[in-house]
Amino acid sequence: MDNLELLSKITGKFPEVKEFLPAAGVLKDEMLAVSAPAGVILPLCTELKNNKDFDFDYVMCISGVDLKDKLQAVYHLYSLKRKHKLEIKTELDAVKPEVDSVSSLWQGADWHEREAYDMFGIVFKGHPNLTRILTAEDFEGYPLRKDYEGKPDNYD
Amino acid sequence: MKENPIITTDNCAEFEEMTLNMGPQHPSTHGVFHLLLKMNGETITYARPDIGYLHRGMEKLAEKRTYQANIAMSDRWDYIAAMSNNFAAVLGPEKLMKVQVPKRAEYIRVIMAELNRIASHLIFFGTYGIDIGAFTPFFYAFRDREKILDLFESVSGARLTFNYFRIGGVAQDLPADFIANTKEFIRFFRPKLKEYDTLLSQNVIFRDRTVGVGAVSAEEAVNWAWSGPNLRGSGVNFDIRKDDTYSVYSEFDFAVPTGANGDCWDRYMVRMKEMYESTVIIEQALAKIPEGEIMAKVPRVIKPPAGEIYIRIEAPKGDLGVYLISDGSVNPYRMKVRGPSFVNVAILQKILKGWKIADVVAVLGSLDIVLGEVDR
Repeated sequence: MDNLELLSKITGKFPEVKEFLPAAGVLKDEMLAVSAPAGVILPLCTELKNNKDFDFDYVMCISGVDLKDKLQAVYHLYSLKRKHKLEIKTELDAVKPEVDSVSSLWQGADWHEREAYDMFGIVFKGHPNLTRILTAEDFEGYPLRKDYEGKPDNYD
Repeated sequence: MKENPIITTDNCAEFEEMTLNMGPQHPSTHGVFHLLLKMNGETITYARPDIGYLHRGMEKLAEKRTYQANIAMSDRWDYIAAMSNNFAAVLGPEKLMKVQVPKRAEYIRVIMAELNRIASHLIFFGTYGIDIGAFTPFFYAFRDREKILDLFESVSGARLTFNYFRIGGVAQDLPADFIANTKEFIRFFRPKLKEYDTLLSQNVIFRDRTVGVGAVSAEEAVNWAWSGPNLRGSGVNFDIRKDDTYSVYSEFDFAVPTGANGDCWDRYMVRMKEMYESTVIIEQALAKIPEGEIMAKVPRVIKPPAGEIYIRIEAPKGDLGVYLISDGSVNPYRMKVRGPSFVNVAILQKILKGWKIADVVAVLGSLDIVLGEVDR
């Protein structure tokens, strides 16, 4: 399935999902990217995984991104059977970033979501064990946010 | 204070749950990795992998460094396969800047990445032997890996953190004797693979410890987003070099070994067979390597245009992905590294249940994780 067909099938089922078109002069790779509101992520991913037309069975990556005035969760999905890729971007509120967890669909998303929580403070609702993963449990702040300022420690 | 309950033969099972902290300092964790285990007798009832002891904030550091400096940083992700990391670190900016890398440089990159795959799998072979209780393979593996490190030293000057790739090519051309030396290494190395098989692969004790242990089905492996030899060990024929090809890998003819049962032995055997396939690729590359430039014309200051890109390569451990966002400045705006070890190790919380404590070491070793990449 090529990108156009994939896009029309997705937008046919989820009209609120739009193709992500980068601003003028901004580059994007050939992977199809869509932007979806946070509320639709779980139904969209359920459909992408279970519908045999899409067959997205593999999570390549889930990343958090800080866009300064808002946060973003970016999902990179892949289908081992059909060899197509999809990127889903969802924009989240900087103060209260919340999105449904997809770890019930793909277990591989488990630690990616924990990492995004640890680094950006994005709360993945319904995640079975949303705790800090790379930093210590008592760590304060979200280090990969652009406004993060580390406290000097013994080594600074 | 509550009195201790009286333990009898009837209720002893429920009172004997024991918590064991394996690591962070433990020889079989191959680094600083903590595994919290709860056991009923010798049987695991609960396992929780705990990572982050080697977290250096690579992704935050990347935002404060130039693209060239990030190549040097990438050496420290999976520090026993630094050439592969270099590969992933340069592909993103190159695609954004639309750099056409010279053919000779592409061939050199493939040769280095495949040599590094052998070196990485040799470390696995040696340390996995130790995990299971066979000490000798370690010496054999390190003796032969030394020859690869000598080759790397001759091209890059370093033996572990090479910093050899550049955006647009590689740092230096091959030394005059490199091709002859590499051919000599392949001649030396291929019979050694048979030696390893007689030494460890077909060893009765080794097979008893690994065959059927820690089996993971193909569906489970895909659902947990496994990649690399672990995924192929479960019988899924997926190799990014073939299925989502990059660089000049499409020009080489090689097989993708897979396992059948997804147990520790299958994962081990996939790696042993992959070493042979890597020598096949290197041989073809050495025969076909063209003369010419090793660097494209790139500006002195690397400033990729604003944009974003997701690239992935088949690193020795699996799918190494880099999500790169550029804002047009000299530093990346965001660089997320999807280390294959980070994803592969997460499954431990599920598959260890029901196995004995001695099998934990066999399963953990068979995943071939590197903590530099898990924690970044």
